[in-house]
This record gives sequence, C-alpha cells and structure tokens, in this order.
Amino acid sequence: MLTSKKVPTSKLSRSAITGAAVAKIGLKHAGYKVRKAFSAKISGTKSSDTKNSEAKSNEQSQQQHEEQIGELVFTVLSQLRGTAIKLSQLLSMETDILPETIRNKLKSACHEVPPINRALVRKQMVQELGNTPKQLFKEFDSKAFSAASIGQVHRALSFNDENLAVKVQYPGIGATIDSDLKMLEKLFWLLAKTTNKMPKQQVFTLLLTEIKNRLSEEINYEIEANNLNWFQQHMKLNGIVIPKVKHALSSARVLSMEMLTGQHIDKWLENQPSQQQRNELGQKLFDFFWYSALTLKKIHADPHPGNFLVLTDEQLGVLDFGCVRSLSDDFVDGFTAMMPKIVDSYIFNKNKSALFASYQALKFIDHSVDFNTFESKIFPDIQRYGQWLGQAYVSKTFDFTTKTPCPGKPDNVSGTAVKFLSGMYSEQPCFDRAHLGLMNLLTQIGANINTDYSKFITVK
Amino acid sequence: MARLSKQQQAEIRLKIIKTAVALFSEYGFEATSMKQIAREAGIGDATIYKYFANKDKLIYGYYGLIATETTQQFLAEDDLSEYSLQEKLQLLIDIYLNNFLPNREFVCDSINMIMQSPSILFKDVAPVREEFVDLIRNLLNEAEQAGEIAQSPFTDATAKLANDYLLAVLLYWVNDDSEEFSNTTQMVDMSLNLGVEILRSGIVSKATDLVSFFVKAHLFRFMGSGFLNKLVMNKSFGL
Repeated sequence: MLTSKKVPTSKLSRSAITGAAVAKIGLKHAGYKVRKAFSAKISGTKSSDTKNSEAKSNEQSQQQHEEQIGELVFTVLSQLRGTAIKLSQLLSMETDILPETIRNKLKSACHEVPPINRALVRKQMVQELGNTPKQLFKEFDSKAFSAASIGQVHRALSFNDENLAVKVQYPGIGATIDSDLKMLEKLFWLLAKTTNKMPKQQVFTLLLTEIKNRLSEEINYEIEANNLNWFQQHMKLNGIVIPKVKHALSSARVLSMEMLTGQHIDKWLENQPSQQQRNELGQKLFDFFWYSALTLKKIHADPHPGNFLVLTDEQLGVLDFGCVRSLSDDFVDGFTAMMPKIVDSYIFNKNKSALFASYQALKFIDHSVDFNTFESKIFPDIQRYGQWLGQAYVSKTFDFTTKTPCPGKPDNVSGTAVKFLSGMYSEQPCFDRAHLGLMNLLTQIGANINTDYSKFITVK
Repeated sequence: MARLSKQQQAEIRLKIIKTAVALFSEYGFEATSMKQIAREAGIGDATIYKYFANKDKLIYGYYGLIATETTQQFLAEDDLSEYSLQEKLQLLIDIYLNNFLPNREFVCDSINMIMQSPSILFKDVAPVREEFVDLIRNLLNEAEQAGEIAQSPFTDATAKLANDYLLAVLLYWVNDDSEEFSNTTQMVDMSLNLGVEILRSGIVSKATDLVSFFVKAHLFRFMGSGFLNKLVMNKSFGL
C-alpha cells in the first residue's frame, strides 16, 4: 500500500544528484587525459620554441578541463538552492586555494536566490513568532526589497511606528546544510583526484570545517542578533552605525532590526561624490575593518558593497552580521608580524627568511619545507599575490586609484605553491575574504587614505 | 436528543471527537473503548452511539472536523485576495497540516489504518475530500476569471486532482522526519510551483484535446481489445 513505502528523503535524492555529477566528472577527466596526451604530441611535432608552445597548450587544455569541471560543480550546486549559494560565496575567495576557473563558476552561483512567497513568509512567521505578519506588524510589505543569501529582507512598520528591516529565512535551509556539505566534501575529494591544482586533503578539510561552522552560525539569526548587539556595544569608532535589533520580533529564523536609510555604495558612487567624500568613506571602511580585527579581534567577514550603506548624514551603516569571525591572539600577532615582511620581501625583495618564518608561524608551511624550497618554488609562485597584498601598506598612506586588481592566478601555471600549503589558522580564510573585500571596496571607491593600521594594535 | 438544538448537537459531536482523539493519542486506537470516550466526554454510554456508530466513524469525524476548521480559517485569512493561486494553495496546506500537528501521532496511526484497511473505511473519508474540492474549484475559477491561469473545460477534474494532491501531501507529511517537516514545506513549494505553471500554460486542455482525438479516432480498436473493459473494472475499484 501507499504508506508501506517510505517517501524518499531529500538527502537520498540529493546524493543521487551528486552521484551523477561525480560520474560525469570522472568521464570528463578521462577525456582530459587523452587531450593532454594529444596536445603534447601536437606541440612535439612543431619545431620552433617547442617547450613554450607545449606549456601553453597544456595550460589551455588544463583550463578547459577546469571549466568543464566547474560547470558540473555549478550544476550540482545550483540544484541545492540556498545552501549552495552561501557555500559558493564562501568558496569564491580569490586567494589561490581553488583553481580560478572553478572559483569563477562558483561565483556565478551567487546570483540565484530562491524566492520565498507570501504563504511561506506567513508560515515562517507563524512558526517562529507565533503570529501572522499582519498581527505582528502595523505594516508588512510581503514583497522582499532585498535578497539575503539564505533568505530575504522585508520592509515593515512596527506598532510603535519604527521602520524595520525584517529578514526571513528560507524554511528548511538549516536542515539541508549537513547533507549539502557532505556532498561538497565528496566533490572536493573528486576534484583533488582530477585536477593537479587542488590543495592537500588536510587543507580542504580545514576549509570545509570552517565553512560548516560559519554556516551553522549564519543560519541562526539569534547569533546574528547577538553579533549586532556586541558590535554596537564595542564599536567605539565615530561615524559607524550598526542597526538595533528588535528582539521581541526576532527568533532563530526571523530577524527584525532598525531600518537604516541611506544608499548602497554602488549607488552612492553613481552620484559622483567628491574626492574628499570618497576619502572619508574609505577611511571609515578601512578603520572599521582594522579596528575590528586588531582591537576587537572579531571581524565582520562579509564586506561586499551591498552590506554597507552611506547614510544621509554621511555616516557608514554596516549591515548583515551573520558572518562574524573571532580572531585568536596568536593569529592576530602572527598576521601583524607578517605584514611588514610581506612588504619587505615581495616589494623590496629583502628579508625573505623573516617572511619564511612568518609563514611557518601562521602554519602555511610546515617543517618539511626548507628555506631553499620556499625561495625557489613557493615564493616565485605567489610573488604577484604578495605584491598585491603588500601594496597598500608600503607607506602610511595609499591611493587606491593606483591599486592593481587581485591576481587571480599565479604567474606560472605550475600551481606548485598550493601543493606546499600545509594548513593555516582556521580564521585565516574568513580574514582573507574580509580583507580582500575591503581592498576591492576601497579600490571601487578610489579612496586616498591613511593605511597605517598599527594604531589599532592592542598591547596585551 | 430531539430536545437538543442543532447547535448543541454540534457541540457534543465536537466534544466527542476531541475527547476520542485525545484518548486515541494517549492509549492507542485499539485500547480505547466507546464507553471510555463517552465517560470522558461526560455523556451517556448509549448516547455516544447516536452520534457515532463505531470507532471508525470517529476517525473520519475527526478528518471532517479538521477539514471544516481548515476551510474556515483559510477563508478568514487577512489579505487573501492579494495571494496568488499558488500562495493560496500553499496557505491552505499550511493551515491544514498545522491543524493536524497537535495530534500528529494519531494522524500517523489512523492514516496508516485508513490506507491499509479495505475500501470501506477509505470511502468513508470521501466526504472530507469533497469539501476541499468545492473550495479548490472556487479558487481555480477565481484564478481563471482573473486571467491568472488559462481557461479550462476541466476545472472540476483539476479540483479533484488538487484535492487528491492534498491527501498526498498529508501522506508525505506523515512520513516526513526532517526537522520541522521542512521537506514537506519544500516539496509543496516546488510541486505547487510546477502544478500552477502547468495550469497557467493551458497545457491541460491541450493534452485533453489530444487524448480525446485518440479516443474518438481509435475507439473501435480499443473496444475490440478489451481495454475499455479493464478501464471500467478499474474504475469500479474507486480509482
């Protein structure tokens, strides 16, 4: 009879999806090997500059190969709805941990957000707050005005006439995270077998664990509410506004907070603000980041333009505290000690042994790597990235109109550096992502600012 | 009983159902007697039989009650006119399942009993289904008039189908072990999306056109093969 058959749980059908993709990737990989052999043969027949053209066509076919795999990964991820979007965002860190083409595919997944219709919003409200939107708010706009990665944001008016932004989570997103991550682990494992540019297993296990922890925090809006409160209490910088939480109208899956009125940075830039305005805004963003990192030792780890508002009085509104990362003292010490050495080594080409020691302190390389290997194999591979990283901190001020884009790819295609990567502090990925976001924002704004963060370093 | 008003009778009926479900939930269906229910509900041992001939009747009495309550709550919902067809159906299901929630264990047991028992009991549940058919037919007609979905000569059939879909959702929900039944929520969200999309496209009429063409053009061949006989036989089983 009907009930004697258990309905398939979604996890089963999800595994089936990855299973299919895994099989497909396996096939693609076989194709790649053939192509690689073939391209080597072709370039071997050419007489002029053989070595160079061989390297070039190898690079091309490797890139094609990555693209195809990236596409398949994307196909899988896009079938997983909300979780995948969040994962993709977290994974599209521009640091060279994942191959570039795969990162690009992951990035494009960010645009798809599952919509939550009126009936679902109502359901979520009743489930979370015990009442319908109509009864909870004086006014509630059932059309979302903004999409959050695992939910959406609605405009509302409280019975005390406060303008609120109400974030509602897609029902069931939390329940799916675990199975999604398990599948991702499988995919990573497979990718490691099929491309030669994936990091060591211990590194991506560390990445996955970090992502898992961040995600499980992010789906709990009570944690975000606490983060908002915490930052509001501890953020002593002037000109930074953090929305107040409306606790009575919030729960683990619904978050009501004060609506800040202002313009998103993209929009604000369209009105051609003066250089001085740009500098002031840029300075606020810069100080917000480094004050958080070095003084508070807790960072807002999601600094994309949509999360910042230029308020009508030119103050900086900071939104979305779902992804917040605490930084350990050791990490902060290690990182602040490393930065001057990044500048010395990559920009002035001196003091490489100190950088080597810093990399060890930050656990990037273990003791199996000696200085010679570091200097000959790792250093050249990430030189451009190092230059990019140090650029803003060469002197006490920096003009971001001269900032070069973050190099997405090492100079040579060997990708050897990533193979030596033995680990990192668990906060490193979030920190990198946030710092990269900051650099991108400042470049977009074209600010000329004081980049001496040392004033925020706290003495123990 | 004759001295009681209709209103009073309805109240007693309601009380019996609620008491019965509470007892079934606590002690199980088999272990609960009509006598126990009557005493717990504060009515005479014999009086209860005037309302319900046996325990089975109490089960469909419960489903009927939930269906009535669901319809009332649904129609009383604020801003219902602003909801799209899909949102309305989703809301209906949401209210329906929520009403079952306090007695979920009993619902699981009784659904299994209904599904496993011979058709007699299953047929008894039919009045529940009819109630939603009317409601859904109205929703479909409204959506057709508003131009939200394509006009179709088969709205009645669609309403019945949608009603069966509700029962299917209930079955899925009963077996759903995901946290807060989020799988059911997502299944409903996705399947309704597809269903309404199909209604919007008017593909139902087109498909039916095709079928009726085949039936008309090849009727005689079917008749010769005994296919129709089989079809009629199946129908008599209530499928």
